[in-house]
Order: sequence, then C-alpha cells, then structure tokens
Amino acid sequence: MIEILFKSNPAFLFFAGALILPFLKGHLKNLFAISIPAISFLLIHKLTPGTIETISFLHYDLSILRVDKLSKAFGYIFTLSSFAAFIYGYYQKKSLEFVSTLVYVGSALGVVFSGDLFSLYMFWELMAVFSTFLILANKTSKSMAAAKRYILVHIAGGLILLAGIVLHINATDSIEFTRFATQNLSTWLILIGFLINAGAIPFSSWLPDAYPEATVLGGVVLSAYTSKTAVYTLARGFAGWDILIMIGCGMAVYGIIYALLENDMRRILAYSIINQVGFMVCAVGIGTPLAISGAVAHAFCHIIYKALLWMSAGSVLYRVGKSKCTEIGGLYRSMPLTLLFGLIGALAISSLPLTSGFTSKTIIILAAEYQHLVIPWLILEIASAGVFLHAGIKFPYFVFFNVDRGLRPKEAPFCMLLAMGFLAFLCIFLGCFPESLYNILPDAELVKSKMAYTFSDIYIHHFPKVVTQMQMLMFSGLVFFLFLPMLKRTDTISIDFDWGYRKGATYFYKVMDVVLNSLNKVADSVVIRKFVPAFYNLIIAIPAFALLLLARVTWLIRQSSADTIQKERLLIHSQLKAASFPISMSAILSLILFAVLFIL
Amino acid sequence: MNQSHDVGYFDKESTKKLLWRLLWGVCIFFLILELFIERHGHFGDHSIDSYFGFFGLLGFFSCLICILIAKGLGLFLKVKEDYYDRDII
Repeated sequence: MIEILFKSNPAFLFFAGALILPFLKGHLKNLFAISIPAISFLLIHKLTPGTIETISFLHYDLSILRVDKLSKAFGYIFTLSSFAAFIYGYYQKKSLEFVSTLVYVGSALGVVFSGDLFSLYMFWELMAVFSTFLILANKTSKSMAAAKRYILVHIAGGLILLAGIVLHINATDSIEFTRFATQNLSTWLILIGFLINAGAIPFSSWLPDAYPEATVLGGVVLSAYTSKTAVYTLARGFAGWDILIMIGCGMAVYGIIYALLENDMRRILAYSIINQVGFMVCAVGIGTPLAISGAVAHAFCHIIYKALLWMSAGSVLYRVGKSKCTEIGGLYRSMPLTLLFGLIGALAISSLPLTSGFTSKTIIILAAEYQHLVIPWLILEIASAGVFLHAGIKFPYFVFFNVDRGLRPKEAPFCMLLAMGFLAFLCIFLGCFPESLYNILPDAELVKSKMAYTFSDIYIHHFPKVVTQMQMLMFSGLVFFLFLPMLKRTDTISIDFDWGYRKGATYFYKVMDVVLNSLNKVADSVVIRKFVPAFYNLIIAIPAFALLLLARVTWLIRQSSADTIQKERLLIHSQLKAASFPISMSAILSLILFAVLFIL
Repeated sequence: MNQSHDVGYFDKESTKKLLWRLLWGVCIFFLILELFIERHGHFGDHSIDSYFGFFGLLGFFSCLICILIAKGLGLFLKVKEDYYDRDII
C-alpha cells in the first residue's frame, strides 16, 4: 500500500482525502484535513529526484509522476501552505470548503508532478473547477456572479491551452512536458494558456475580480496555487523567453498602481499577488539558472507571506464582516495579534531585512544584474519600493490604524492565530536563515555561491545591502505619510481589463443589435415588401401576355363578341394566378415550351 | 463608544508626533550610515546606482511617481461600486 503512494502522484492522496472527509464529523474532520498535507509533505520529502512513473493510456505513456528539484520545491510549499490553511480553517465545520480545497491543492500538486501534457491538462482543469467552489461557497449574489466570470475565463484559458497542446503533439508526436524551444502557434497558445492562470496582463483582471469574493478560508487558499502553478509551468516550459521579462515588469508596476487605487483590503492583496507574480515571471524570462532558482525561491516565500496577509485580512473579515478601508480602521486596539502577524507578512512582502522577501527577491534582482538588464533591474527595484507602499504600509495602515471607527471586535480565533503565528515564524526564519530554502532550489549550489546564506554573512558581511534596502524602504514610507491626503480612500472600484467582458461585451451586443437589426429592417422593406411582389407580378405578367396574344388570335378567328373576350380574359388571369389550367391547356403549353426549347 | 474619553495610544497627537520624528530619524540615520560603508555600483564602479543616496532617492521618487500616476489614472478609472450592476443604454 505504502509502495503505491511512492509511485503515484501526491495529488491522489489529496483526492482520496476529499472522498473520505465528508463522512467524518467534528474535530476528526478538521484533524483529518490537516493530516493530509502533513503526510504529503513527508511523502514528497521521500521522493527521489529523477523518478519517473509512467502508465499506458491509448498509445501514449503518461508520466503520472516526475520528480526533480523544481517539482519538489513546489511540492514542499504547496503542502506546507495547505497545512497552514487547514489549521487556519479549523473554525469551519462544513465539508464543502475542505473538499474543494483538497481537490484544488491536490490538482496543483498534480500539475507540478506530472511529466506530460495530457496529465497536466487534466489536473489544470480540475484546479479551475474546484477553486470555483471556494468562491461560490461565500453564497452572496456578488460571489455567484464573480464565480461565473472566473470559471468562464478559466474555461477559455483551458481551451486555448488544449488547442496549443493538441497542435504541439500533432507537430512533435511527443506529449512530454519540457522546455519549449521553438516559437510557433502551438507554443504560443500554450504560453497564453499558462499566462492567463498567472494573472499576466492583459489577462489579469479575473484575479482581483474573483479572489476577494471568496470565503474567508477560500481567499487564503486561492491566493497560493493557481498563479504559482502557472509560474511553475512557465519556469519549466518557457525559461528564457524574452517576452516574459516585459510582461513580468508590466505586471509588477500594474499591480502597484491598481493596489494604490483600491479600497477593499482583499482586493489590495489580490493586486499585490499580480505584482509579486510579475517578479517571478520576469525571472523566468531572464531564464538563467540563477533566475529560475530565484523565481522558485520567491514563489516559496511569496506563498507564505501572501497567505499570512490573506489570513490577517480574513480574520478581520471574519470578526468585523467588513473589508472596505472606508469602513474599517483602528483595529490595533482589539486585534493586536492579528495586527502583529499581518505586519510581519507586510514587512516580508516588502523585503525588509530579517524577513523572507529580502532573501528571495534579492536573487531575482541579482540575476537581472548579472545579465546586464539595466531597465528590468530598475523596474524591479522601483516595484520593490512600490510594494512597501501598497502592501507594506497601505494595507496595515488603513485596516488597523487610520481612523478609529469604534469597532471593537474580539481577537481572531485561536486556530487562526496559530496558523498565522506559524507562517509569521517561517517569514522571519527564512529571512534570517535562508540556507534551508536555498538547499531545495533547482540550482542550490549556484545560488549558495552567489548569495550570502548564513545570518552573519547576510547581515554583517553584506551590511551595505541592508543599508541600501532600508534606505529605499524608509524613504518609500516617508512618501506614503507625506502624501497621505492623496491616498485618501474613496468608496469606488477601478475599471480594469475585465471591463472588456463585463461592460464591453454588453456594448458590443447593443451595437450588434442596432447594426444587424436595422440591416434586417432595410432588407425586409426592400427585398421582402417591394422586390418580391414586383418580381412575382413580372413572372405572372409574361405568361399572361403570351397567353393573351395566343387568345387574341383565336378571338380573331372565332370572331368572338366583346363579352366573350372579356370573360375569357378574366378566366385566363384567374387561372394563371391560381396556376390551375385544364390538363389539355397545360399539355399545349408544355408542347409550346418544348417547341421553343427545341428551336433554341 | 465615546471616543473623546477613549483615545487609543496610536490616535494620540503626542504619539503621532513621536512617530513622525522617528520616521524622519530613521531615514536620516540610514542616509548617514551610508557614509560609513563601502559599496560599489551594480553595473560598474561609476554607474549611477553607486552615487550616495541613490536608493533613498529611488525609493522616494519611484513611490511619488507611483502615487501621482495612480492619482491621475484614478480620475478616469475610478467608478462607483455599482458601476457593473447598472444597465447600460
């Protein structure tokens, strides 16, 4: 039994857990949920890099399990963060969110550990479907609408990916998922499919549209997997594609500007995910082994501090029931521990020395420096300063300080504090002793040769780096407080790329409605009402004229009276209109027709 | 909740004044600290990032520009919360 576990994708353990969990009750349910990622973590630790397990499907060999250092690093962090998320969600007694989370996280692990494009696609779609339930579970009309848009975007993304995969397999006859070396239609489609999940501009707006509508636990879970699985697939398939540098820099800046405009705390954090994933996408674009390791390290640390930030925002939402900066404030008095943990997350995302952001983001910036990418380097530095502005100060300031609105909720439940404490510890631990993180990176030795990794090396021997970093952050903070009046929150939302399908589509529909329907009207009045009757009359008039000509000859021969002529003329007209002639007449007319045809 | 009698530590004017001084103090401290360390430019010894106070200025002006851009874009992009719920035409 245990042998099988080592030979199959860790995803299946999560799926099995999801099947069993609904039958459990009370604490057992919660403990069971927590145990699944814990066991998986140990299993992943035992997997040896280089292992490939295949099963036959149709006439392809599916690599259901492929282990290397890249997949293991993501495996570690996915299980670690879901472990914390289940501790955080201990207050939850219903199965829906747990089952969705288990399948969602399991599928993310499935993507990371599958070695071929078929299995990857299956897990990819499962992720999209089950993450939707975490939004639906909020059961508000807004979340229902957001979930609908979310799943539509992901279905579209999935279909683009599928089209790319099918074309790729057709062209190369291989389903193996490795780096795509050639640029053609199939690889571009696959890239777009991945970028949609990464929240890359211009496919970014689904993320801040959907995540803030999820449940308290849902928000924490969602923040980690979809975009980071996309970072993994990009790192595996598209390392060194130059366009990713531009896209990444764009995302980093876009995230800051929109986060500054936002009023809802969870939407601020959603935009800050795009900002952070921008760093990783840029690193993948740089593509050197150091940059890829940097992207992985940053994804690892990002998942921890971003989950921590979502947890602290979730605790506030859980206790206060509000998430707009214009409605909350002054919570430091009643939720000091939530503030403390949230602050650690906020400082970690801002790469403050002694926190994990400082030891991971630096690798990416160093990689840009080694490649002499001056402009990307500068944009990444600017974006680092901007992160402190929107996530490092704006989020804690407007939620916990700003105006005291008289809200005095209770401190977050113990389970939430426990999970936040665990992640806050990791943020500081990885900031002080990053060696354990560097050891699991794809190019551990390279990173350790270029980066300081012991406490004394980072904070004593490389002290100038600490000084410049602190200088940058403190002056960013100064700007925030000097220009605070300009950052005053308003009760608004900002128009984003989703305008295209939320409003633009309706406008398109209306324009099409006006254009096509007026075209229809014109066609109706010209063709149906005028042309067709005129044509009909013409068709009737020609044979009538011919018949009357013949009849006139007979009238002349028969020397018919005016009365008879009038009667027969009317008869011919009525028979023509009804198309009913006596058989003899029809026969004569047919004969005439044949004669005419014969002569012609 | 009567707030005039129940002012939190961070809402007191004296605390705010102290924090302002602390912030300016920390900024100046790290600026002065740079005089005592030896550092090199990331793109050669004479690249612009090797100048004194480069990172402080970078932090200050990049954040200022971000705020101004956000403020400017906000004029066009900010809409009422029910924007998407309203029927058009």
